[in-house]
Amino acid sequence: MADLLNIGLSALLSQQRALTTTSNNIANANTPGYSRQRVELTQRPVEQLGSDYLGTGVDITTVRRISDDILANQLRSASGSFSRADAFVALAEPLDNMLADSDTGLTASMQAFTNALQDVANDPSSSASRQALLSEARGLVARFDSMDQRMTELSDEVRSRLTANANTVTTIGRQLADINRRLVAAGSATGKPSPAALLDQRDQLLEQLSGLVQVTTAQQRDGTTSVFIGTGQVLVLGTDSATLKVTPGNADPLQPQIVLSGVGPDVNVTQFITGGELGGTLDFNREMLAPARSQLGRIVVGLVDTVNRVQRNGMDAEGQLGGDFFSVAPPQSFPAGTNTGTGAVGVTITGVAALEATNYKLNYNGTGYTLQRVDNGAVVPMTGTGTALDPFVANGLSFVVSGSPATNDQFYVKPLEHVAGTMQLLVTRPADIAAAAPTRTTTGLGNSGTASISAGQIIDVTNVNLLNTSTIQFIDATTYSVNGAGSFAYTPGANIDLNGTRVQITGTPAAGDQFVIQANVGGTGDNRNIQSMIDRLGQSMFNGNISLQSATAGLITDVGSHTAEVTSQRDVQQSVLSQTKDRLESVRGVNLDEEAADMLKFQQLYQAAAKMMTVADTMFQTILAALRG
Amino acid sequence: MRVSNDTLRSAFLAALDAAQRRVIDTQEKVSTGKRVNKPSDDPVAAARIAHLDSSLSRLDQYKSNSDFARNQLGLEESALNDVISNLQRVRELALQGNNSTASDSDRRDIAAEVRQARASLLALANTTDVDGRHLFAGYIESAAPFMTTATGAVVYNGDQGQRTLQISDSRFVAINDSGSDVFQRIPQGNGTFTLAVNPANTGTGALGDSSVTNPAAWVRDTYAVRFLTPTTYEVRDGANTLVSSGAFTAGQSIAFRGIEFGVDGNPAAGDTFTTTPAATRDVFGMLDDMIAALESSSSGGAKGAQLHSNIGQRINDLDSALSHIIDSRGEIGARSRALDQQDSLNADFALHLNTTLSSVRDLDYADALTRLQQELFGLNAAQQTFARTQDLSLFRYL
Repeated sequence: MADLLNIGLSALLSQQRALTTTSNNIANANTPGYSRQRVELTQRPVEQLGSDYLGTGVDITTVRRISDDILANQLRSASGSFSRADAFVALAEPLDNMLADSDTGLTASMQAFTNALQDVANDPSSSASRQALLSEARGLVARFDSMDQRMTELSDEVRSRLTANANTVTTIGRQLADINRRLVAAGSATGKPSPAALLDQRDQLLEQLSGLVQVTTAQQRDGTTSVFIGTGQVLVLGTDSATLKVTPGNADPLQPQIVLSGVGPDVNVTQFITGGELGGTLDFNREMLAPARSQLGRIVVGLVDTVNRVQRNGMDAEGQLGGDFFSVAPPQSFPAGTNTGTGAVGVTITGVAALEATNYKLNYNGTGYTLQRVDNGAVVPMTGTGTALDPFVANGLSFVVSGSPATNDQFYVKPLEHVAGTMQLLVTRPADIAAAAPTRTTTGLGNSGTASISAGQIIDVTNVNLLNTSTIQFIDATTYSVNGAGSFAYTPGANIDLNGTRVQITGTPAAGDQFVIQANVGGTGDNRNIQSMIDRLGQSMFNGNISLQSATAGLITDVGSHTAEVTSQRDVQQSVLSQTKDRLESVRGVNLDEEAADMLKFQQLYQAAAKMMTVADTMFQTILAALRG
Repeated sequence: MRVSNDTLRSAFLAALDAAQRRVIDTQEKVSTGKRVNKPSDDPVAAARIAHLDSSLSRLDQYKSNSDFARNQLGLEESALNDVISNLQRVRELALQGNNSTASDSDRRDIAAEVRQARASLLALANTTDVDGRHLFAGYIESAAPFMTTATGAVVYNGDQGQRTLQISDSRFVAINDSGSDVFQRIPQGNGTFTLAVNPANTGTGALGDSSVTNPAAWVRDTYAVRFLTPTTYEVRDGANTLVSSGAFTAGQSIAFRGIEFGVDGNPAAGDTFTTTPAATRDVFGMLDDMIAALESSSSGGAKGAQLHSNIGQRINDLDSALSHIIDSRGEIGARSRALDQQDSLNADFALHLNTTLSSVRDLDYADALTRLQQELFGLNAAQQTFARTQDLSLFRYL
């Protein structure tokens, strides 16, 4: 009888516990990170009765948390890859859209400027067309400025995202260390069951963390979990956690760097951070934003240099030699924060054609300097000695080192990245546009030969005698004198350079024929200089036969293809993530129908056990009545 | 595989999300009509579109350059048409004046009319466009190029600059001609030499037509043809060396060193005619010479012959000027034709670029709308199945 009651009781209790677990499963069906639980039942030890064995009821061995550590690990890795691509795409899309607009885009603004130059070439005396050119030039400056502003905003966004993410990583690290402490307190060494809620919470935190940065974990014997981020930097070790901070860069103070400060000294871990939002944001900054800014800067420098060079060769509407049309800021250089010497580097652009769209590091090894590209790490050979008289020259840049640098000192050089927003229009009066050439040529009225002279081209505008009159007079059909002096052999079509002007004479001259090169006084109808500006803007500007237009197309293609690539990466990673999540959820997630069936099962068993108690009671009452009877 | 309720829901949500994103993407393309809305849609096409857009914009600019050029050339051509009819009128007048029946007083009237023609020619040479810029001034277009000095001569204050406009990537066309090219530097006579009659001649020999018969034999020099008797002559060069001599019959040409000219009437012994290598002169000076010739007296047989010779030579000058200016006008016509030809080439090219642009950038509507239909159907189906399956639960039956 007692056995019957005991067995019934064990059944009642176990089904009650099972129902509690089921209802907890139902209650947490929507709780993120919750792993379903199962009551594990075993038969109680049997009793031997003679030659027979009798059962003694049921026992609860454990309430098991059903999860899969391997799948959880895979999920974290998938989540890290997806978040990286997702963060990258979120930042890349604004840049992509910025270059999209065909009406207000970069190409359209540059074409509008060239068209305005054409209008001035059509009618150089018209102050209306000159005014229109100035307003197009202002529009072009504003376009570059707004693009630079947009890129600066993205750069700021990168910094604030990194800061926010680093703070979250620090907080999660601290929470994980706390969970480790509580697991140790709960005595959950390897092999022993740990409090299920703590483990769920830990997995949930690790999943969150993997969205921010790539995570690897290691299970310790004391039941704690060590957490490593990036390529193996310690975030949580036992009950200790490190702090992740964002500080101004050591090499480039304008770029953020990520510092891990734990037990020891602070360590710059920027290059070890991979995956997650942090990795994606850093990758965007390094792979897309910085190159795009340098490319845009190179376009600006090329345009400004070309326009200025031609404008200085020309003559404005008031007969003055042209001045610079635009201005841009010079290259920047920064000594690294870790430098111990007092050295500084001055950088200037000396050859626009050789410019490359990248930043550089100038390293001092105690005896000499090496220049390294930041984009691909290649070492660029330099000529010169680095002094003011003989500067280092490489890729269109000149470097002058001053002060005394110490061994292993480093300088970060930004030739182009910052310049797009610094472009300014220097010409403010329409009359200052140098549409004309400073000199012109004239064929003598009394010439009897058939020779003719070209319109002339300025080859050295700094020649002090540029505006002096030179008379070429033919002594006979094959020799000529200049200003009545000398005797030079005449070759038809050959260059004749006089006082900075280059002319060609073709045809057959007669003795006494005269050709004159003189200042283009009053030549307001001349468009030769502006015509040559249009011509130069369409020509190859950078080494490798890259024109302004192909440089712009290159920027669009680079940004577009990179965005497209990462977007498709994100889509792939998203489906990997959701598949992994599905697999993990299929192990640990709650299925309400299953719980309903379980509930019925446990309920029925509970009812049966209760019935058994009644049977036991009836049996007991029967015996009592018999005894009383 | 077990399916948890959460998986069921998130799978549906992901499917809905994806379906919605596809619909929005297609919708954007349909509403803009463009296949490529941002560089990442098709990076290579985006760069090509930028390139094509700027090529088209450049072609537009070439069209406007060419319109401007056509307008300027039109102005210049109409000015030159007036110049030519003016000079033709002068030529007619000169022929009238050279008629033996014309009296000195007739010729003075004719000279007065030539003066008028010269004045209007000067005004034409100083023609301006609507903005007041002088067509024939070269680069110095703000000032009137031709001015009359105190001595009555016309001087040119412009320069020889010629402005060119770009009408295609590689083609330029000049839109002006300097006054110096059009009205100055016109060869006199027949272009090789000019003839003059000695005012002291006593015979009635008058100069007739002149020509170059053998350019290779021509030696550039001044030659004097002197009649030794009314029927014999000798030719001496600038160094007074005898070059040729011969017998003369009235109406016959005198030929030497590859040139020849006719002498009408009867020269007297000692009469001299000189040939000088042709120089250049401006058209105003030529008219001045014409006026002077018309106004000289014709009294006496010898003077009449001289007058006749002089006017004849001036008519030669005028013919040279006419042909020079007609050539200039022809050149303008050629440029206008070049403009028309280039315009049509540019229009063809623009059409081609537009076709390419459209194929690169524009949306295939039929395809896109079909796709949108399918995507909307997919979205709808996802929504409906979600609603249906969410209803399913064992708990409903307990």
